[in-house]
Amino acid sequence: MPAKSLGKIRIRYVAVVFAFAFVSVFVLLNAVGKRYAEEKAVELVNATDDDVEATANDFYTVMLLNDARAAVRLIGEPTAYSRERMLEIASIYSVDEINIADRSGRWIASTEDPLPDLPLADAPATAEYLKLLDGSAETVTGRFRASVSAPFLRAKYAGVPFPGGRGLLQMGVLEKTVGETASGFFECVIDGWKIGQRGFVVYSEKDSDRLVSGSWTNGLPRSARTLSEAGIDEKLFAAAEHEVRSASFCGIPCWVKVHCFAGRRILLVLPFAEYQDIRIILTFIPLLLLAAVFSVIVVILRKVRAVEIAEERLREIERARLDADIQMAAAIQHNSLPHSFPPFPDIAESVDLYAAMRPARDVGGDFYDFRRVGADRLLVAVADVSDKGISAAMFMMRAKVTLIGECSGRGGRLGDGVASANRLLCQGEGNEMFVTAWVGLFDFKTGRLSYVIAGHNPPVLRHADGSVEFLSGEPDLPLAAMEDADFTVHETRLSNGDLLFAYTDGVTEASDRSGSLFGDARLLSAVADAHGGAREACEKVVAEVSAFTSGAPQSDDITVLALRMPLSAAGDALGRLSRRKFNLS
Amino acid sequence: MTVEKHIDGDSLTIAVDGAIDTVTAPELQREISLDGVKNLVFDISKVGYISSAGLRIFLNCQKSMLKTGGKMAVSGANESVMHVFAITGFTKIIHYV
Repeated sequence: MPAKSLGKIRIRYVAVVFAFAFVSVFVLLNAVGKRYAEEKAVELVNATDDDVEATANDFYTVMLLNDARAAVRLIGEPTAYSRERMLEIASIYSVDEINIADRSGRWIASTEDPLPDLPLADAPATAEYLKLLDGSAETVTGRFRASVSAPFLRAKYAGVPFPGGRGLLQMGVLEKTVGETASGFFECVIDGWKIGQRGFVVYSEKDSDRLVSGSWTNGLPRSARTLSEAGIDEKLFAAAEHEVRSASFCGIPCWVKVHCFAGRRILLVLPFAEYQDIRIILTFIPLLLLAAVFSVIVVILRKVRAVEIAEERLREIERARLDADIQMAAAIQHNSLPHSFPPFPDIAESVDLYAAMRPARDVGGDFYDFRRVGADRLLVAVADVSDKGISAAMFMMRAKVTLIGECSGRGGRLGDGVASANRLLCQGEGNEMFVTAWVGLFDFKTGRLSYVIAGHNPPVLRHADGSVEFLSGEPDLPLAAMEDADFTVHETRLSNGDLLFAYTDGVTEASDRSGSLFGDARLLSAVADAHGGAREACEKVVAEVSAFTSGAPQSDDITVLALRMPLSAAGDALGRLSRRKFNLS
Repeated sequence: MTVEKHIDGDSLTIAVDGAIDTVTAPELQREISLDGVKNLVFDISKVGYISSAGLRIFLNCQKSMLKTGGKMAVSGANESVMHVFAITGFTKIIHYV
């Protein structure tokens, strides 16, 4: 037997477990997804921020170098120009500073006053420019950075050599100065800059809150004309200049970082929606998998349940069929016993015969039978197969046919008949059963009774005067026990009014609820107390047994058989005899 | 029902305690192995009831012993058990000690 039926695991319980799992997984994945999306977004915005800075630098490196080369061509020779001339040249290129050094690496002209007197080699910031003099570098450039002299102003420098290493020109520009003319940079480079799939860059006009209406909208409403209209306040500005912050831009939840350059505020905006897809994938794919697993389990459980129900139904059908079979077997068995009384109406006045069998289950192992042998004799048998159920019932049928057939067909030689039946019943491999039987051959003309006791309970003999006793005789072995067993034929004679009561041990061993047995004494008194003939004796004993057991389950088949020589039968015989005598006389 | 077995050479003594009925008879049957046994003794002094299933065991053992030329005896049968043996004719084939 399986420990527990799989199909009986309620789908409801599985659903509860899975619902719990669903919620847990959803909450967990949602948190993980949110965290992941946030990290990715911050990373992307920061990278873009760096990119904007680098791009601005690159853009102005190219511009500065262009201007520096143009200035070199304009100047021709590294000469100790006056500061005025230098400022004039600087204004041509809209730069803040121009310095010229000679072949020896000494500053000879500058827009600065006084002229820096420290040789290039002696200042860390300028030592790099010496590479221009020995030809090992074509250009030297630097990023926008705060200078020592003006910590709040960022400046960018670039240097190019005069041909033939005759000297070098260094050009510097302040971020502030760039800002005056930087619209080109913003229009060409910053405008339309996209961050990821949905992010974008917007910027304000110089030193203003006004947003430049470029191509940034990316499907966003153009309604906002200023940063404050877009929902970006000064407080957020201050915070978002250093790290990525969440904010609402034009009502759209976004990640925001502010980059200040050339007097403009560059706003890097990445809507939360950017990583929504990945969040959805991260969250819903496992949930879908879970749902699939759940569905599969439900389907399996349903299938298993269905199979079990089908099997149960099959078993029920099988049981019903078996029950029907047993009912049929019981009916066949019942019909195999004689039930119409008197069985031989023509001799009803000579012998009063009655028998009944009440099986413990549908089919029994007990039987009784009687048959006419010749004109005056009657073969009667009561038997009990040492088992119960279908197999006992089948063996009982075999035993009945064999015993009655053998005993009635040998010209009334009872001993031979029983011995032959025994031999026949011993044949057959694996036959584990035996049959106890009481077989009698009764001559109802003379009252002579021959009988064989094959391991069977002794019948009760009730005399005409009402006294009762067990029929004497030492029992032989049951039938089908030993093939070569001997069977003694006992003899007695019944007188008029005597009643013989045979039975199976279902009568004497019937037990009440406490386990006490009906026993011999109760049997004797029941037979003694029964008034009337064979039928009354049988019914009395059965009624007494029922009363004794008072509802305790019947554990064994109960069979009763009574045979009585009527007083009148003897009278009739005498009468006939006397009439014959009378007629003769 | 409990079963105790004692083997002494080719002698087997089986002591049974309790009723030998439809339920316990198969248990007793499983305990019995008669290979090489020449003397089989059932001690049933503690048996109060023997059903037909129990009788069948004695019968089968008796048949086996007869086949192998051994001997079987039953000892200590009480009155009611003896009565069953008597009614069923088993007294004719089984040796009692």
